Amino acid sequence: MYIYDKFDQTVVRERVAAFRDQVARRLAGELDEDHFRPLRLMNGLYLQLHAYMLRVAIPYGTLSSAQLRRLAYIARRYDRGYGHFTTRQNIQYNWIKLEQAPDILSDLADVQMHGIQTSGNCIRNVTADHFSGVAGDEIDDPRVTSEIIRQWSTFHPEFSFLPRKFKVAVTGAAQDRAAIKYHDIGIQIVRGPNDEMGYAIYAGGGMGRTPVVAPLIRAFLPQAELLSYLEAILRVYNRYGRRDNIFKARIKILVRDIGAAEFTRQVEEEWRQIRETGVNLPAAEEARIRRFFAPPPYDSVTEPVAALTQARAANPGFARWVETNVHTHKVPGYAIVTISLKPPGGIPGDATAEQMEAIADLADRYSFAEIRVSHVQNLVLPNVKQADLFAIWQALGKIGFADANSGMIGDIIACPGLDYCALANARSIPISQAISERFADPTRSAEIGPLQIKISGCINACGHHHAGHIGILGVDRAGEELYQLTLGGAADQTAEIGQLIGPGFTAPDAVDAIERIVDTYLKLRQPGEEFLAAYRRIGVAPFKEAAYARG
Amino acid sequence: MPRDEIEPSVISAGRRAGRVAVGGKIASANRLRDGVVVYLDAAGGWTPDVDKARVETSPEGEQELKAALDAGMRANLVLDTAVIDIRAPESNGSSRGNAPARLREQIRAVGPTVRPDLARRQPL
Repeated sequence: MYIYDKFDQTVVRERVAAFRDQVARRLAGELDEDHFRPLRLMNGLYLQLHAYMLRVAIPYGTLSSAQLRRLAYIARRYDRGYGHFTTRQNIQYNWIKLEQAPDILSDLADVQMHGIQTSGNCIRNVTADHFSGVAGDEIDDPRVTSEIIRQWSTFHPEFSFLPRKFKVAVTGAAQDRAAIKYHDIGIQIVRGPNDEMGYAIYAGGGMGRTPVVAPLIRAFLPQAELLSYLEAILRVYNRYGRRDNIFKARIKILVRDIGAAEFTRQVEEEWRQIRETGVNLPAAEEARIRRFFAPPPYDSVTEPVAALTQARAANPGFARWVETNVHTHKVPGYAIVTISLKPPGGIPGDATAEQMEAIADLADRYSFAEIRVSHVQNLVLPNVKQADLFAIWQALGKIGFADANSGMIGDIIACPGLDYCALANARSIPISQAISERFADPTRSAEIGPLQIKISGCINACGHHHAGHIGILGVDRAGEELYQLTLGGAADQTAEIGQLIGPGFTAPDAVDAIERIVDTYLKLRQPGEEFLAAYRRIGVAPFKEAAYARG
Repeated sequence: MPRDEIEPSVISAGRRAGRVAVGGKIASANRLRDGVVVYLDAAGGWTPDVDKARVETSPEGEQELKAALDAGMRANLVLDTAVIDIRAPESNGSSRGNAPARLREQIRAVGPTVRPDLARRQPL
């Protein structure tokens, strides 16, 4: 993974020193909140319901074991012993004291981490496929592109005060695991007509109150010209984005209002003017960055792993976990492991300091000291030998993270909701707990098959409800929490916005309605047909009827 | 998404008290140095215990609460201030202390409903 050079380290250290001075001035009364607020937000420090919340950037979801241990230390030393992994591959701490925030940032800087680009109207922390570099279906490692974008975008003077926040996601495979079409810019690594490497560029996607699936604005961009093209997009947005209305300030509104064709024309026109004079990365610098992502020293494994076959046969629980949580690795004899942070009845994405440390130990022992954070709020061990899978599963069982539910009905995305978030209209976590408990039986979960439930506690959609096969949106109606259901959303390469099926339910009724929707699917599906495929074939009618049919 | 990057919703988080009868108003804020939820008390100080909050029932009293919140902000002691509703006592006269009317404020007073081990007090 990328290791800071002296420039990166200096930038982060200087930022800590500046923030320490700003906090001291705020506490001494020399800065009022109006002036201090943007300064703390530039370091990821928000004020939430119960305390300050610190959001720490995990660029493209890649962590070393040393970094994860430091995140555990911060949870224990400065917070209440846990952290929350988010849908943007970051981690949040919920109980931060302002007077301790500079010390936390200093402790993070020790391990090359910070809270920069986790707030404000800048280019946010770039996200990527959590299987980057190891996926069997990958054209190229998106971490290289992501790191180039990170270095280009950090403190970019022209793009530090955009009309609104700006999110970029990168995938290196046709199978989109990074939800790129729901981002301001989505980048897919593709091969061109002569098999050369390049990018397909999507722009103007997003969730929130106005969900939009991003249109393709360029089918092939030569790899070397990435930064000048991104700069052209940002310039058009910076020039014409709506600064007068916060609800219309995202790039998705600009693209929608002028149309994808006209937006593309303007970007291409801007690009024509700057592609020779603008910033493009020299090949030598690209090669320097790429070296950081060289594959680790894999062993050569040529024989089928007999121990794995035997363990699966002897242990049905382990066999189920291999089915759902173990993924194809590009190197024979190796595997990718998803560690589900979704035990039935648990809080999606939460991990204690002890759990984080145990996972860091597993990464050291079995996965070349590397961990990934997925936008589905799980952790990933990207490089494990198939022969070690049983030992890893047993170790995960000791910390409560051995559930076989990755991609299944219990693998729910949920935002913090009204339990923590100052913007929320309703709680998200309790309803996710009720659903995961309702479908906790692993046999029943396996029978249902892949099914993504995503829950947001307000229209801002941090819980990605628009993209859920079953989406849940919490609303407030005259002081009562109600939950609206959407069906048919998808976040992958077939991205689609879920359809609202009707009036909201109370929390218990919503769980019952979801169970009736699932039962309807089981009744109507064709052999081997997954929930989303069945929904797309059948349409909303029988599911809607089932949802509102009360016993 | 935190309020600091606000994209406010048409549907607000219970800005009204719903069908709950309002019994008075109290002054709420977060403490500057550590962000802890605090309430103005009868002595003019800041308490994390909602039951010790100063309760006002008149328009003049509400203005005094607002003035105290503004003074606390100017003194750099608190931020994110608001005057909030509390429930009226039950019809039989019983009261469980100062119970904020809105769920959001109840959660601020008690702590996350999903982490009772971290609760500041018994649920209201």
